[in-house]
This record gives sequence, C-alpha cells and structure tokens, in this order.
Amino acid sequence: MGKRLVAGLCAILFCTGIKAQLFDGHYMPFGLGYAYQTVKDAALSPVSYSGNLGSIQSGYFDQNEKWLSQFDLLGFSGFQYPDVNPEGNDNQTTVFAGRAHYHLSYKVFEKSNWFFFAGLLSHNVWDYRQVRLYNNSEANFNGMFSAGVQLTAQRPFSLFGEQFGLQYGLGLPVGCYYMRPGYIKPFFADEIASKGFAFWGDYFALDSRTDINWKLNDHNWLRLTYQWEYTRLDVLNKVQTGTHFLSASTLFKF
Amino acid sequence: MKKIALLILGLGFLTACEKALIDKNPQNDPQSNFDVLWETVRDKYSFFELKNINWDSVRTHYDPMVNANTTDEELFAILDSMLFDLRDGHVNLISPFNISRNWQWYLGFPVNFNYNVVERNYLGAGHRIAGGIKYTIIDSVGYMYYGSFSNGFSEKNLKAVLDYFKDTKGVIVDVRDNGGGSLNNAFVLAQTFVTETKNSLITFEKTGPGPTDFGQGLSYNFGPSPLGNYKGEVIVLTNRSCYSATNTFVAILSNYNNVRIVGDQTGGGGGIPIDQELPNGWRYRFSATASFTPDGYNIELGIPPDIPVNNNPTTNAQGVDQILQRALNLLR
Repeated sequence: MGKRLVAGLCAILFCTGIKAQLFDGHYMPFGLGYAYQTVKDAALSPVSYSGNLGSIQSGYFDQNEKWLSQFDLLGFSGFQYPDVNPEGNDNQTTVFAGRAHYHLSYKVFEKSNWFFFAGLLSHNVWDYRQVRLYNNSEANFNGMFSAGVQLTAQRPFSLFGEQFGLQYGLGLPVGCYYMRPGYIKPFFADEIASKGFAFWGDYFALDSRTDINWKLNDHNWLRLTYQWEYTRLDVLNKVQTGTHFLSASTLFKF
Repeated sequence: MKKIALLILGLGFLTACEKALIDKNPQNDPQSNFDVLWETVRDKYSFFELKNINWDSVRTHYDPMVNANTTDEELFAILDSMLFDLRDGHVNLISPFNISRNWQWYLGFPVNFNYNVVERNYLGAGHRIAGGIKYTIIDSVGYMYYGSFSNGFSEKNLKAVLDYFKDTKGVIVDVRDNGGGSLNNAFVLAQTFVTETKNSLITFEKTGPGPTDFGQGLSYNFGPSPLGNYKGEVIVLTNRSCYSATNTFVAILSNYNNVRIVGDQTGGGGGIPIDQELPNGWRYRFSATASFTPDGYNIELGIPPDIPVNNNPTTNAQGVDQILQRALNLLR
C-alpha cells in the first residue's frame, strides 16, 4: 500500500507539467477532515495523550502572477487518551482546538513548471483541553501566536486529460506569544497564568502541508490536503504537540 | 529538478514522525511511578519549608523499598507512607483499590461538634433552610449552620438569611465540621458578615521547582457585599474539622473587628490542591499554593480561636453544646 502511494505521488511529480501558474484569482475553500494529535504536556501528565479528532476548515486565498496570499482557518475537536497504560488509566481529555494561519508570499523562482514562493507567516495555534478526572487543574490549554517564514512550491500538471496541481508549503515560525497554564495552575487571579514571548530555543514549530488540487471547471476545484504540524514550547511546563490533518475541500473561485 | 521533486516529496511525508521529536514517555513500572511522584511533589509542593520537611531524606528512606517486583498493593503502601510525611490533608493518592489520605488534622483532636445535639436542642424542628444554610433565631441571636462549602446558595438565599437576622443582637456562624468546598462560596459568604473593606488574604503560587520559588502575591480585599451585609457582631464557631475553604473563610473573617472566633483551632488546609497522575494511571493531588493573613501568618497551620472553648463530651451527650452556648452568652 505504501509503495503504491509513493509510486502514485512520484507519477504526479514527474508527469507532464503545465506552464501556467496553478491558481489565478480569489478562492474560498471549505473542507471536512480528520486529525490525529499527540500531546505531551507536563501540566497535564507525565505521559503523552493521543486521539482522533474531527475537523472543519475554511479560509481564503488569492494568487496572481507574483503573489500568493493564503489564509487558513481550521477547527477540530475530539477526545484524547493516555498512550501509556490506557487500559489502567480512565482519564481522558476533550479537545477543542483551532488554527488560523496566514502567509503572504512572493514568487522568487520558476523553473521547469515549478513555481517557488517565499514569504512571511503568521502561525496561530490554540488547543484547549478539559481533563476529565482533574479538579483544580482540569483546564489545560496551549496558545501560540507565532510569526515566521513560509516556503511554498507549486506544480501544475495534467493527468488523464484533467488539470491538477500540487502545492507544498513549509512553515517555520521563529517566535511566538504564548498562553499556557502556570507552573501549577491554569489560571491565577482569573487570568491565564503564564503569558509571554518565546523564541527558538524555548520554542520550535514546523508546519508541513501538501495539497493535491483537481480542477473541475473554471470556478471549482477539489483539494486533498495532508498537513503535519509540530510545536514545542519549553516554558514552565514543557509541551510538545504533533498533529496530522487529512482533509478534503472544495475551492470556489469568486 | 527531479532532486527538488524528491526533496519536496520527502518533506511532505517524512516529516510526519513526531514520535522522534516528542520526549519519550516514562515506563509504567514501580520505580518509574515512584520517581514521577517524588519529582513532581518535589517541584510543585508548597510547604516543605513551613513544615521543615527534607524531601531528599524522604526519598532516601523510601526508594530502597521499590524494585521491579513491587506489587501494586506494595507500591501504593510505599507511596502512601511517603505522602503521609507531608502532614497535609490536601494530599491524596487515588488508585482503583484505595485512596491514601492524612486526616490527622482532625483525628487527633477533640470532636467539638455533634450535629444531632445542635439540631435537637438549638436549631429545633422549625428551623429554616436557604440553600445549604440552616438558620434560626435563638433568644434574639441569629444562628446559622453551614456544613459544606460545596453546598451552594443563591443571592436570594443570602438575602433571606440577612432579612431574617436584621433585628438580632448578633449572629453565630457555625462552620464546625465543614471540611471545605468552593472557595468562591467562602468569599461570598465572608463578604456577608464584614463591615469594612480591607486586605484579608494574600495567596502565592509556585512559579518554579525551588522550594521558595513563589511569584508575586495576590491580595484579596474583602468588604461588605453589594447585596447587603450583616452590620452587627458576628461569632464564628470552629473546630478541627474546619478545613480547606472553611479554613480560608475563617482566616478572612479573623481580620475584622466585628468578628470573633469561638471554639477550637481550625484544621488548616491553606494550600489549593492540584491534580496530577502517574504513568500507571493513579491520580494524586497535593497543595501547590500558600496563603497568608496580612500579618504574615500561614493559614496552612489552622486559625486559632479568639476564645478557645472545648465541648465537654459528658454534657454534650446530655444536649449541651458548650461552644455554641458560650457564643450565645457573649451575644445576649
């Protein structure tokens, strides 16, 4: 199965290219999907928690000859369970999470049907978890509002007479404003206990996203997205989160 | 360009390996569970200095008892004993088969309260009930019994109690055997019985793993409730079973000139507990804050009464509550 998948993707990458850019104009996506998230948070547990989450996404993007402006909005929810001794640990978290990412990128390079963009990224993460068996520490959250750089590659191509496009984006935030539980409690004086700025060293994030787009007509596309996001913040209570997203979206040109 | 294509393909699919980036989970074995508990308590417990506890020595004592063959029952007994050394009623270890606790804060002291005596001889069959508050008037003195800060009350409940007590010579607020509950209920009820606004409590949270790593204190100012307050003299009845939120309630009221505390010292429990868990799924909780009255007294130790009174078990069995009787005599 894995070999077939890789072979299929290689076929996409090396098939007949199209000289024209992938998108031209304003688009609005709407999609549904699935996510699998693993979190290891010292404020929550010494062991990691993982679980399946349902997701919904929308946003806006526009592209012209030189610029790519992309805003993605994603919400997801579900349950997470301990990865160690799950049969002996009845605890669970209920997750409500959101992502709001924006990047403005400029076309810096074009060769052999590949279009490369580089730009600035605003990468915003908010995960809220309700911990079922806790009392004074039942609220657990992870907010990171980050800025960084974004690299994007596009390759339009045709396959079976249909027009497709591959887009790969790599987001690399370099610093964030974070909102986290304090050393011992989520809130102090009714406010989020730990807030501040963190940069590389204390903070690291990576956002890798692959889209395969299928042009249905001049105004409608279908998109299949696989995204992997990793964040780490080592302030007071270290938290590491890895999230896989898989979604299908429709794109409307307007 | 094929190299670029392969690089992008690799980035898209090979980066999905957060297992390599996320720190390894601790093992679920007796030693690992022991280590996690000891280290977390070392880093986040708030009263080592106050209680003069050497946590390293505690580890030296208990660590050799744990080995790979330690059963769950044995491990629980070892961890229970280790946590018992914290001498803290807010410390529990919760397993499927037992909950460890240290209840010495009241077990080693006079009971000083019997609800049956109060109900049959003072509250009477016709007493009123507003939310979690039972109240009546005894010889022109208002008397209310509030047995748990987990039992809620509404603004209307409080107003009803205040209206009922408006022409009394004073009010007795009996919180004996009240083991705590909602701190917010404690704050609201305290505001009902104070006559001036002043700073009454300062709470510090731990901000790091060191035993003295505490942040800036949060000062609580309490004044008369905007919903109304009792303007006369108030006596609060206490015993050793007043704990946690009740202890805080008494600590707040101890700052006000219109309030006297009669009975026995409260049990303490001045630290707000937080929950954690072990790799094997057992949960535990422990105190993680420290609170003080404005004169620097750590309320974890319990609030001493202004007028110490103990019930005589013999006369109490005959229906006389000497603590309550003393308060009535003071207000009549």
